[in-house]
Amino acid sequence: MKNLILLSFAFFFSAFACAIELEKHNITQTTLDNGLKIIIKTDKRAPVFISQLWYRVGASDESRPNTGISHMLEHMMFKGTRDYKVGEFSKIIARNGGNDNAFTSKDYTAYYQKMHKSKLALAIKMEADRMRHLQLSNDEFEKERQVVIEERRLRIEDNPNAQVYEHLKLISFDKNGAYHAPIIGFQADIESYHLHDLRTWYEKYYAPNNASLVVVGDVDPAEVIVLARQYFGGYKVNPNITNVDNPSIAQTSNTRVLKLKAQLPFYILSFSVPSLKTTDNTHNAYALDMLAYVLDNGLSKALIREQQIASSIGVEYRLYDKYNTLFTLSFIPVKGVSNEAVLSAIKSKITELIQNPDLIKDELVRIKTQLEAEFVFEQDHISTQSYYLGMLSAIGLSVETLFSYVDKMNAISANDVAQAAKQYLNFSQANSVELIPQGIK
Amino acid sequence: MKVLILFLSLITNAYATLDIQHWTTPEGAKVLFVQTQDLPMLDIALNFDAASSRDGEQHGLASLTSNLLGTATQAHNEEQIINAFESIGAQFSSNSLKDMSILSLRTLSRDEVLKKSLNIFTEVVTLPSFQQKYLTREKRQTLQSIKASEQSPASVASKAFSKSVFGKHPYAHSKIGTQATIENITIEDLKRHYQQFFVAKNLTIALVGDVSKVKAKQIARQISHGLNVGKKAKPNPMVMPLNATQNIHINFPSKQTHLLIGQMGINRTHPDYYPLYLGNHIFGGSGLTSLLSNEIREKKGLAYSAYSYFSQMQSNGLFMMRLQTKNTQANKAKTIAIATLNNFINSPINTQKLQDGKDNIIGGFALQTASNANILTYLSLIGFYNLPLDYLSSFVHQIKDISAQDVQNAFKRLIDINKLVVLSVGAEQ
Repeated sequence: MKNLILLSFAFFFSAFACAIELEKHNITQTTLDNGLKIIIKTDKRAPVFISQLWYRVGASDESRPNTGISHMLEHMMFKGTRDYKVGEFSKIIARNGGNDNAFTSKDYTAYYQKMHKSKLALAIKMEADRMRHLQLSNDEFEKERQVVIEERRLRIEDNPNAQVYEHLKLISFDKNGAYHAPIIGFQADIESYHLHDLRTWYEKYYAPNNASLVVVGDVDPAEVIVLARQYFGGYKVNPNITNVDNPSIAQTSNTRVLKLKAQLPFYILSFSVPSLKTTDNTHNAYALDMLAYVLDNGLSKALIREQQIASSIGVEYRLYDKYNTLFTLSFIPVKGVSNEAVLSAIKSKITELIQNPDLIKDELVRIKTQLEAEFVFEQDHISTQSYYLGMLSAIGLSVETLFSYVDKMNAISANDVAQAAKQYLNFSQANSVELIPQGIK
Repeated sequence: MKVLILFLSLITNAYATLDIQHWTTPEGAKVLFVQTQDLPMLDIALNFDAASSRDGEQHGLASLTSNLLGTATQAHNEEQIINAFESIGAQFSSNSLKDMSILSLRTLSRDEVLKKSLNIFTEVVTLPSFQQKYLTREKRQTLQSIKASEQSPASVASKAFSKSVFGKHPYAHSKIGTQATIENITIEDLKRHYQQFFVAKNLTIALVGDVSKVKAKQIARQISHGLNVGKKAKPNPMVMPLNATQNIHINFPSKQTHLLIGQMGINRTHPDYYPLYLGNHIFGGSGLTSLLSNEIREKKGLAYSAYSYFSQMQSNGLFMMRLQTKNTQANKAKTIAIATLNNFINSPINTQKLQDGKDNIIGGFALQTASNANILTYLSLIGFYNLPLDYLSSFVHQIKDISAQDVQNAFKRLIDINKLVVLSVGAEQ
């Protein structure tokens, strides 16, 4: 009994502490009866707002022959509803001084409007309308299919490094799980889905209990909630969204060589790692994030500035992916230097870090200071703020995650970073894609 | 008393107008400052008239000079400089365009951080040491950038388009230069370029953030004091209109053809600036709702992006329509784009379209200055291009009374449909 009381007190206390913390950051959160999550951050620096609607669906929910269908549907969301004709959505937003767009990623699809604060009701009303009343027509679909194929040509097929990334995903993840296929989809799939496939996707995932409304700007939180209730409140829960998990399935030790019409070589390595969402110890995920900063700085210094054997270095970790993800190292060797020489320099820097973590102590202090400053800088754009809030909500992490990030990173020691490198950067298991340029004639 | 309070609150609720403070430092640098108090940070942009249009024959000189700022000073080496910025969370960057070479600092504004970040920033800008080892490295990096641009059809197209539209003008060449020009640039060239152009009289300082005007004055003074007074760079000649149509095709092994169609453009003090701005917004400058995108993408599904813009540079920039489509559709898309432009010039926009365009610009104007970064850009433009201080506050007023005839006349005066550069980069069909 005593334990129970203590437990509930502790629970109450921490919930209370969270509320205070969020209040400090001007955050209001609630959930409507139909499951729509609402997150509001007030920022009164300018008389404007951004309103974003995030659906918890994206490329990681897809499989062949429907890869890219979340993105295709995102395009079709601008093609009219029962009450608004084709193209009217953007026209009305524009006429009211706003700009709007949308984006699709692995784990989410999101729509947004940026407008003067007097237009809040309009933005919420129109976004709510297309959650349930989209009208899909074959004529519009066939044109938009061509637009998306052009988008794929532009972004990927005529871009050698983008092809390298696409191949890296193909070899790093099994085709029966998430993250294998490109977000935009395979060309054969884009060419072949039918209107009813899009309709099925829409009916299944576009429901209040699969979405989060995020509003950041000069707004009154109570008014946002009233408007959300007014325009989204009537929609029913879709009980068929069980949010079936489709975890990624890591593949290891795969390599691919691409000979492309290009001028510069490019090399990328991937290591299979957990994300903040999937790890059984969040400290490890933050250690991986810190490792990415340490290596990005350290390798840039050693390989670009000192040894001058690489002209660019990229180290990336996707802390906020929904499923197990990748830690990637990429580089372009300078002319006359082999990939092997750069790889071996990278390996020796990592070995050095593992054997002597104290080497990065000063670096770590500087990175932590930078992260603290960046946390302030990031508040300059309301769209950056709403992006983080919506993305966290979409993958199922709490809003507090954003505000505790700097503290969590501050808790990472040099030993933690070395440990993360030792545990996860196993080169014999790494996947790699190598671009061998063939010139452009 | 109640009346007074009401009156005050009405003022603060009225359209967001920026309180732009401005002055000139004793050394002759122009300063524009806006105080914003909600975030404990400060942004500074130093805009020198020192960019690629000042290269002379040494294409790539301005970019290299800008790249070497931050590699060494008379007191510190590169790693010490990087550590100095990083250890206080400050961000230094340099960017060199065709008109402006921009050095910027983003820093927290609390006293002990600000003091340190300003000291190192000032040192980097005012006491550089141009060293051969860094020049050698940056030249190699530039050669890699040249190669990177050669494998992108979009970059190949942009470069060729500028060359055609600008002809012999200093805007014509690529700011990163070519292998041949880069190889011949020496440390002495960099020093001379710096001495001539990175001087107080050739500088516009923009500051936005959480510091007082007194503090802002000290900051501007500190930076400007370390520079030579120098001379303001003489204006470049104006870009001249094209004599004839140029049809150019560059073979490239890509799946899409990149189409760039256009001619000489305008600067920000052009007498038709506002009708051209509004007209372009409606024609191709407002995303999916613009006429060009409607014809190319919405009606025909020919391209993912189709847009137009004026680059608005000091000596007249360029006007360009741009789209990408699969190679076999290139001719069809070209015909539609030119016909859409022709139609726009020869018949007035309908009233609804005109009103929609105005409503978008006017109703969304507050978005233009919603962040410190946005404000910083505007202060830089206003100062560097000698725009009136009420440029932003009068913008809405300038737009609201423009008629369809004004737009049509302005486009007719500027755009000669029979003298366009029509450039395609892609695989020939």
